[in-house]
Amino acid sequence: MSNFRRMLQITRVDLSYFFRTKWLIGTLIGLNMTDMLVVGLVYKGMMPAVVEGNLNYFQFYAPGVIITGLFFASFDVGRRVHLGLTEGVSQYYLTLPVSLNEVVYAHLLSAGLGGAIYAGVLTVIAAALVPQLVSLSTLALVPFMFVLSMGLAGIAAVLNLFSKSGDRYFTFADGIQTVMVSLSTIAYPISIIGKYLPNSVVMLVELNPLSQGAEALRAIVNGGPSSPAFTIPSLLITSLVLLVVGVVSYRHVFTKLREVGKI
Amino acid sequence: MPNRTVKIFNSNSRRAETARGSPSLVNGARLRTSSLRGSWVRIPPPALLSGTRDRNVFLCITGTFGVGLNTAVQTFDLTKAYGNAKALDALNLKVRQGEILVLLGPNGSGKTTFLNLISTVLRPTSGTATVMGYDIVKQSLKVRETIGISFQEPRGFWRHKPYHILSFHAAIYGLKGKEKSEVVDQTLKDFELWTSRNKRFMELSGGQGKRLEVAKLFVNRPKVAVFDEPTAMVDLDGKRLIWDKIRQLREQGSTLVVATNEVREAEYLADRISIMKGGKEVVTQDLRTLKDSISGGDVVEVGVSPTITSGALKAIEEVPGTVRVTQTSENMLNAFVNRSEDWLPQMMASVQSFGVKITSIRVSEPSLDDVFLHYTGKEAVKASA
Repeated sequence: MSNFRRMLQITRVDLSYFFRTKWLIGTLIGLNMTDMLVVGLVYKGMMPAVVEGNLNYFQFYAPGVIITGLFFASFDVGRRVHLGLTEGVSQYYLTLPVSLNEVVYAHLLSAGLGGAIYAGVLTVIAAALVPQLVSLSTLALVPFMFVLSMGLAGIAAVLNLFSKSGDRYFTFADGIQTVMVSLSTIAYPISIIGKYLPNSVVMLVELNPLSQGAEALRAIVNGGPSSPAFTIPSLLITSLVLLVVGVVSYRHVFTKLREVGKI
Repeated sequence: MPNRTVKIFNSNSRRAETARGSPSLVNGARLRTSSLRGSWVRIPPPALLSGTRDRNVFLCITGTFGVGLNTAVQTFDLTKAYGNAKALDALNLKVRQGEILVLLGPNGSGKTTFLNLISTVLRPTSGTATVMGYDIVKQSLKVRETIGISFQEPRGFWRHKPYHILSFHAAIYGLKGKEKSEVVDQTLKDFELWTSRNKRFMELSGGQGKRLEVAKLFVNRPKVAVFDEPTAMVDLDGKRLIWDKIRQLREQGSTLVVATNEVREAEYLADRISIMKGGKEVVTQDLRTLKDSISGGDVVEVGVSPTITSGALKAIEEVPGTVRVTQTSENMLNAFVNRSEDWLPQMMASVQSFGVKITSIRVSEPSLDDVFLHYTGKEAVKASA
C-alpha cells in the first residue's frame, strides 16, 4: 500500500470521527439553522431596505452562515487532534508506516473535507430559500471552499501547539471563533462596519478569511463580484498562508510528541 | 541458489572487501567471509542483504548498516533523557531473531521508553538502534513497516468500535476487501471480542480494551512485535489467552519483545529475560542461567540419621559449589549451593564415609522473584508486590 493511501486512511478515520460525534453535528446544525432561519428571516423583516447590492438581509446572511458552518467544521480538527494527543491515538499513528508529514497532511485534509462537506450540506439547505445558490458557480467554488477550510484548520493547529490542557484549548477555541466571526462580514456588510469602526479594524475584517469566503458566496448570490477587495485570489492567498501555518504547527506538535512523548 | 559476490565496506578494517553470498529466503545474500565476524559493514545501495540461521553466516545486512547474525533489534548506547533525568542510559541490548525477550524491571526502569524508542514513537536523545537492520532515526519509516507495538494503555478514539479500529489497522497494512474482513473477524473471535465488536471503545471494559490493543498486532503480524505490559488489567483467563497468542506469534516467525513487571508473565513467556533498572540493562540471560547465576541460590534441605557429625558437616561444607551450610536441628541442615544437580552426588559420596545415612533431600531452586530481587534490589519488592 502506498504512503498516500495510508495517509488517506488516516484522513478517513479522522473525518469519520467528526461525523460520528452526533451531539456535535446536531448542535452545529441546530446553531446554523437557527442563525439562518430565525436570525436571517427576522432581520430580513426588520430591515426591509436592501443591505448591499440587490440582496435582502436573508440573502446576505445565508452565505455568512454557510461560511460560519465551514469554519466550525474545519476547526473541529483541533479538537480531534487534541483528543488524539491526550488519548494516545496520535502516538499510535506515529507507529504506523506513514511519515510525520503524512500524519499532518491527513489531519489538514480531513479538516478541509469536513468543512467543505458540512458547508455543502448548509448550502443545499440555504438553496431552498436562496435559489441563486443553485448554480455552476457554486459548484466551481467548492475547491476554493475546501482550500479555505484547510486554511482555517491552520488556526486550530496553532491552538493545538499552545494548548496543553483541554480546558485551555476549548476556552481559546471559543474565544477565537467568537472574535473571528465578530470581526468579519458574516453578519454585517463592510460598509456598515466602516462607519462605526476604525480603518485598522476594517482592514482586519477584510483580511479575515471568513469575510473573504462569505463575500465569494455572496458574489454568486448577487450575480457578480460584490467588492473588488474580496476576490478568489485573496481568498486563496489567505487560505494558503494559513495552511502553511497549519502544516508548520502540526509538524511542531508531532515532532514535540516524538521528542517528549506527550504534549 | 547461485552465489554472488558483494562488495562491502568493513568498518573494522576500514577498507572495502568482497564477500561471497547466495540469496537467502528473505532477500539479498548470505555472507561467508569469516574475517568480517562481528564487524559493522556498510554496503552500497541497491544491494540488500539478509542473514539466515546458517552457522557460517554471521552478518545480517539490510540497507546501509549491518548488525550481527539473527539480530532483530540492536541498540547502540541508546539514551533518552528528559532534561537531566535519563529514562534510558546508554543501553546496549540485542534481541535475537525469533525469540521472546522479556524486559523485566520495576516501574521507571526504562522498559516503556525502550519500546517507544525502537518503535519510533520517541526519538533518542543520543545513540541509536536498528530494527531488522534499519536505523530507527535515519530509516524510521522502514522500521515502522517492520515493527508493531501494543501500548501499555489501549489506544483508540472513544467513539470508534473494535471492528473499525482493527479494520483501520488492517487497511494501513494493505489488507483490503474480503481478506481484510476475514482477518479482522477472525482476530476479533480469537481475542474473544466478537460480541463486543460493535461496542464503542469507551464502553469496553479494561480487559477488553487491552485485548483489543494486543489484537492489533495479530492483524498485520509484524516481523518484530513489542508488547508493553500486555496483560495489565486483564483477568486470569484473559492473561492465558494473550500469553498463548504471543507464543503463537513467535512460532509464526515474529521476534517479540515484552515489557512487564509481572514475574509470572516473564517466566511463562521468556526465551531470555533482560532485567532493567534505572534505565540500564542489568543482565540478560535465559531463565536457567539467571537462576544459576545467583550464588547459593539452590537450597538443599538434607535430613540425616542418626545425627550430623562435625566431620560430616565439614565434608559437606567442602563440597565444590557449597556457599554456606546451616544446621537447623541435630539431624537436619540447609545447604545453600550453586547448581544443586552437580552438588548432590558429590555431597552424598562425601558423607558416606562418616557413617551418616541420608534420610531425606528436598531441593528448592531460586524463583524468578529471587533473581529479580537479587538484581534489582529494593525496587523489586515494590514491583513484584
